[in-house]
Amino acid sequence: MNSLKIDNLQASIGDKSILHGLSLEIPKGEVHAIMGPNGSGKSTLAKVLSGHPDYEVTGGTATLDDDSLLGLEPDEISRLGLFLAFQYPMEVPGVSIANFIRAALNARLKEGEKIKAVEYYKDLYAHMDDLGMDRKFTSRSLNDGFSGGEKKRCEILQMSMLNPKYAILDETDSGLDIDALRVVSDGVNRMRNPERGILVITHYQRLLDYIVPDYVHVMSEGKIVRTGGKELALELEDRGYDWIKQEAVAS
Amino acid sequence: MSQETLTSPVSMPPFSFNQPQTFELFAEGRSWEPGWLADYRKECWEQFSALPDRILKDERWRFSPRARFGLTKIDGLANAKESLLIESASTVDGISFDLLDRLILDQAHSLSLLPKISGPNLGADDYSLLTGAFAENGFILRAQASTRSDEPLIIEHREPEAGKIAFHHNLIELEAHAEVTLIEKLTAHPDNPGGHISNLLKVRLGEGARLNRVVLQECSQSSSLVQMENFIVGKNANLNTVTLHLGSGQSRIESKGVLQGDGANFDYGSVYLGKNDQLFDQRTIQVHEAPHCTSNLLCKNVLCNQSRSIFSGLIKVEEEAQHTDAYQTNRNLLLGSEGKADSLPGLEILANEVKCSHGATTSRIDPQDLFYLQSRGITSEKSEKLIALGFLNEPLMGINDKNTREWALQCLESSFAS
Repeated sequence: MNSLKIDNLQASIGDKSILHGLSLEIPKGEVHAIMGPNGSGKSTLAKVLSGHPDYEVTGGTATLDDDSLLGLEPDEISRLGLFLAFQYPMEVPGVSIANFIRAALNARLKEGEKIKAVEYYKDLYAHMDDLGMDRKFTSRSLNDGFSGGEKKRCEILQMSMLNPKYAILDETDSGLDIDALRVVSDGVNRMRNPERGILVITHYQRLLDYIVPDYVHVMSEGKIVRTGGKELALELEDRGYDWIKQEAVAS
Repeated sequence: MSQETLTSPVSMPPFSFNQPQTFELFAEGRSWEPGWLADYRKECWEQFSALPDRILKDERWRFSPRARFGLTKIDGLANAKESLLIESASTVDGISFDLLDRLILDQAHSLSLLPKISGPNLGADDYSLLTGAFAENGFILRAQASTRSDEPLIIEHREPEAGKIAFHHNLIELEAHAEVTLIEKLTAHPDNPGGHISNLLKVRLGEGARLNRVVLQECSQSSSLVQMENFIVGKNANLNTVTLHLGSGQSRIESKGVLQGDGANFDYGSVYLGKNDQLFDQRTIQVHEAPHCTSNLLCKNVLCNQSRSIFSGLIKVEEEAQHTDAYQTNRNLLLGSEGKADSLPGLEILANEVKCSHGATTSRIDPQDLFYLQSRGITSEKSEKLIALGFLNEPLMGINDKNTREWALQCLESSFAS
């Protein structure tokens, strides 16, 4: 009940089937990591759960607490409490970060409720300070001309402002130097609490030195093929992905 | 007098610009005006009467459903005293900001430049000549050398009642090193919308002068607007004009910027948000006559529903205009599947040391951008608006005065919300 639960999920894009019966449960309070080689379907899983219109779900279920996510619009899923930090956040010229986050918060208000500007900016600045972001960023266009690190910080800023029940971080480490990685990881770690479940998708073990997961899952060919503790990530770092693939085929 | 002519259907034929007596009656009623002005009106009228019938293949009207600017829909002249209002007057010595109908009687000399500057002549010759002939009002802004107004001057052009046309013949003349900010508002008729406005503006900037002009057009959806502008920019002068078009059923905008003196600069921005079946027909020309001048034109349109836009722009660089920097950009964003945008950018370069570029694009919202915004909980409809608003932001950033810029952004935002 208090979990993000995926059961036997199958999904495809066009004629190509990508998820082949994936099952995974992320209870509140836990951090799970999914690792896997390129093309194993990690990002597809993130997009399918977020309601991306390009993907078609052909079987299985996905529920957030008690609500089914499948068939909902991306904005409905977000308002239910799922946040996706993008691997490649889009650049949106002319839309300032402050206005964007405010619009997202506004979308969560009941009729008649209003955001108080003073409190909003106080909150926004506090979160920006935590992420080491210059306050001038509030008036900059969303991701427009941002460096890789700036984009990822901006994702974490949005996540902390929207305070989701569950968060999926899709390759948040890609394109980050070690300093940026630390700042972004600290931001995620601050959000770890018993009321929130987090799924970290990554190709490399490096990120998991900073965001230490409770469980590590290995994904291959659209399925979870192995689950273990954080030491599994180290084993993968050592041995690569091939042995897992072979084991999966053998079984 | 005009009341009488309108309410006696037996003796009077319906109002029409096809009949000589329309002008004769008008001229009789204004026999008190100085002779030169009467002559000018007559000359304009005669030229108008001699115009050939609208031809089908007029390049200057390419893509335009020209019938929507037909003169036969007009059934009379608007009350000139009601269609123009100074909202914020000049408080600076040496800067005068007044209305044509007040100046004709005792300061007619201040209007003498009007006949001497021609219109932009980009196609709407009929409206331009009729404005010369029939304009009973207009704003006249004149600044003496080295004067400066810190507060914006504000004028309101009011849409007349349905069927009537307001002709405004306007003049801005800034002498050397004068600096003025002007806001023009075009507003809807409050209870009987559907009027026509024909605005002819002539601008001349002396050496080193600076004009910042912002236009906000919020006429009713059933109104028509023809806006003709001729900007003559002198040596080292700076002209910055930004227009925000939110209303009017059909607008024809003709803008000409002439860089006449060395080192002149012309910045032109326009934003158009089209809804329903609105039509926005914009023709521009940047004429570089002198060397070392820069011009930068940026026109952005968002087209919702069945609205459409036409952009036709030309950069013309004369042989003497070496070291020209000239840019022209038109970008259109279609929301939904029924809008339409036509774009005709053009260059004509006779000098050899120039930097010129033009570009035109028409696009739709990228589904990946939409997904990104929606994934933050914003509905698809609101996400589209946010993206479109961001798209239109750029030309408004060209407004120098911060308060005016924020006001323009708010006007645009509330137009999106409605």
